[in-house]
Amino acid sequence: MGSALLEMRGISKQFPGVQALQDVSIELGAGEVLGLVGENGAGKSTLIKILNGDYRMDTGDILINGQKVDLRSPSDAAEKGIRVLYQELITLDTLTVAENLLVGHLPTRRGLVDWKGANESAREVLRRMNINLDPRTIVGDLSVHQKQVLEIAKAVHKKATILVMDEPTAALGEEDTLSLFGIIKSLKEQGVGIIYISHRLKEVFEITDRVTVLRDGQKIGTLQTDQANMAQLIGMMVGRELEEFYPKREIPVGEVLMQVEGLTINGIIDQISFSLRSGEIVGLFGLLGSGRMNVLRALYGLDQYEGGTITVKGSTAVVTGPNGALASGIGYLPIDRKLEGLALSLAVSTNITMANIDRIGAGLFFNNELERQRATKWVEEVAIRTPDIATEVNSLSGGNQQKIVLAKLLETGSKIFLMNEPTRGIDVGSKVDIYQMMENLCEAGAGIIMISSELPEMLSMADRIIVVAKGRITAEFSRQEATQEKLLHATTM
Amino acid sequence: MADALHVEPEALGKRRKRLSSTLILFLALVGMIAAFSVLSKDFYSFLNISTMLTNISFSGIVAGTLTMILITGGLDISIGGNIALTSCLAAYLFNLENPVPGWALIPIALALGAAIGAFNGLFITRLDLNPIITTLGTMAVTRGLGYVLTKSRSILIMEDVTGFIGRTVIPGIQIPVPLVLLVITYVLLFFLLGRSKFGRKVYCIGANQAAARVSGIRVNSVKFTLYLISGITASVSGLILTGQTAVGMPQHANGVELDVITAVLLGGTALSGGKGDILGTLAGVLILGVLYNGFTMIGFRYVHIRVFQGILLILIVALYELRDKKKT
Repeated sequence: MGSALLEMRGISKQFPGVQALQDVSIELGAGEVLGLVGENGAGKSTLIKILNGDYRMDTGDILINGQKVDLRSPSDAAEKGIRVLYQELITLDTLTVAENLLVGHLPTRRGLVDWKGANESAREVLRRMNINLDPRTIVGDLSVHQKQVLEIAKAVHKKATILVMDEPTAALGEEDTLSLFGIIKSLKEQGVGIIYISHRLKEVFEITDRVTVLRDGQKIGTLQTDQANMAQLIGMMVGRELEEFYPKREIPVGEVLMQVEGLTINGIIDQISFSLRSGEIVGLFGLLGSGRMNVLRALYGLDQYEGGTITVKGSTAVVTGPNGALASGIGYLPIDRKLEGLALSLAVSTNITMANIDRIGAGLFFNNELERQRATKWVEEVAIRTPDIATEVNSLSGGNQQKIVLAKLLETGSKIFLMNEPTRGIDVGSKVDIYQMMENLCEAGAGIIMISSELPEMLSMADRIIVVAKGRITAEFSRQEATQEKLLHATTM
Repeated sequence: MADALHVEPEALGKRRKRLSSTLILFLALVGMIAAFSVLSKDFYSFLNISTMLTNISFSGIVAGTLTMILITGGLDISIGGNIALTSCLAAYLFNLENPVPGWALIPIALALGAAIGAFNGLFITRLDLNPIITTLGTMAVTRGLGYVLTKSRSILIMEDVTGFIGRTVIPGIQIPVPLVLLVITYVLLFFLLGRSKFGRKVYCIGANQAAARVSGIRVNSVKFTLYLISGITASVSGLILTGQTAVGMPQHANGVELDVITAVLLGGTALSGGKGDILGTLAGVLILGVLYNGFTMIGFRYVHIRVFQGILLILIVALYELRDKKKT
């Protein structure tokens, strides 16, 4: 292949306690789209951050057009023509399109900015790239897709030859996705090399030429996209057969645990109704901003709702806050364990009993001995790997931290579990442990409502999947009916 | 003392580490007492030690409650104003044409403290206002009201109930009443913070308020209670000071915030929240008291010690900051 546009050779990177990348090599040709896939924690973002100069690699080489380069900062990377478009776009929202596009080299006249000239040259840049945007628009008024297009235009204008897109379609509808793919194709023709990171495998098959799979910091392989298939790719990503990875059992469904009727938060969710029975996992599927998270947060009393009723075991529950929800037997696993799940500077045992303090000891007194017993029990049962229960939580791995949040939920004795991304950013082994615990809970008569943005997890663990789009329920599928295509289609209805 | 140290709240994390730093503080205290005893022949006398302990009682009591507030990541700097207003109100009521009887001054003072604490707590929890700004405002309001009430004068209050609280030495055991109140407060707070369910919630809120809320802890109710307790203990301190000086005046406890915050931080409570305990604060209060008294005994003046204390406060914060940075 001659000398590739970009080569990353034998890249390794270690963080305290984690080998984030081990001897990973990738190659990108001019005018090529390389897919980069892997589960959360596989090492994709570390690799990209090394390429962008955010992190320093421990060992390895980066070559651009066969020349070894040393990327110490994002500005080094930008100088070499590398541009990373992160999921969260960094635009200057209070400024205009022209200012965003030309930031750093606005034309001046007698020391003042020449606005007319600026708008003219911005219009010219946009026209050449066939992009229909008014240079005078305030960027904050643009849609996510328009901002994305603006960022791409800015990158190309600054002579970027290597473009990395991290989950570019996460917040896009179907139409905008198609428009983005159009732009990617025209970039290819101009010889730009693109690294395309996505969890949406269907898109990876549609737009990439080759695809590299990472798992647990290692490169598993690179495939020619047109010769690969979905099952093969997923198998490489999770490292084992799907049936083995998702320990789904046949559990009979029992009584109704929770009935949600017409749940409404003005302008966010509208008339959401569904029920949860014991023994089942109900998946709430939707895109970013669909309102699925607001449903879960409202059920736990974290978001106020204006309309609707929540019935728990036959009686109407007034969920005014987390303590009320817990009293009704509803437990919540937050999406971000560090933000809402754990007191990181406190001990494992303190965290495990944190949602159950009032029941540890009689009267006003807290019983340390009882806490020790309870915590020790859960550490064993949930298989938390920790030196002892007095260890501070922030010294443990993500997987073990997540298990502590789960143990905290179990300790409350809840029957209804609201799980927001239960396996986000944790290692494969811990994932399987958590799936096992979820199945155990169902077998013991609990019911789980789960949000997951990992489609394989959703398709394999949920008994029923309810699709939420623009705040409404657009479809419901049984486990047997559901496919990736059907789910994604329902999100655009 | 070593026995007392063993009953630290268990398994809150960093346990062994904190044990040792509290121990270091108490060893430093013993060292200072020894040093001042050598430097000044008057230091190590029953009269001086007793005076010193009486003098630290009123600020020591509020330092105890402030420890809990700091652990939740909050702050209460209205305590000085609260103390001053309590003394002014007591003296004012006692000097009316129809004087309010001495026994009635106690519940009135406590009610005043509770009202001030509730005011702080309400604004800080319900409106989510910044605790520093809120209590700074309350500080100005309370001290200002003290000036209004006394027409900016000192009012004599020769009265027996406050006199008992502030001046009496219990005969036989020779222990001053303020010291008894200090000990009672610390025993209560020790159990409240280190042994009760409430105390556990205080630590959880300090370590991660959002997680505490999601865990069903009623964050606002806990915080409100803390500011309420802080207001009440400040009025107890106000009664002690009133009795000690037999005067109600708006300049009382001027700058006590500095003493109290220095003592609490010296005791190992972190400004960032989630960390600290009552024994550490007790050590901080005692060390500060010994330093003040000792430096006075060897000839320094109050103004000099004040400069030194300001520097000490910054040094303490810097030292703990460096230690925490080193660990991460």
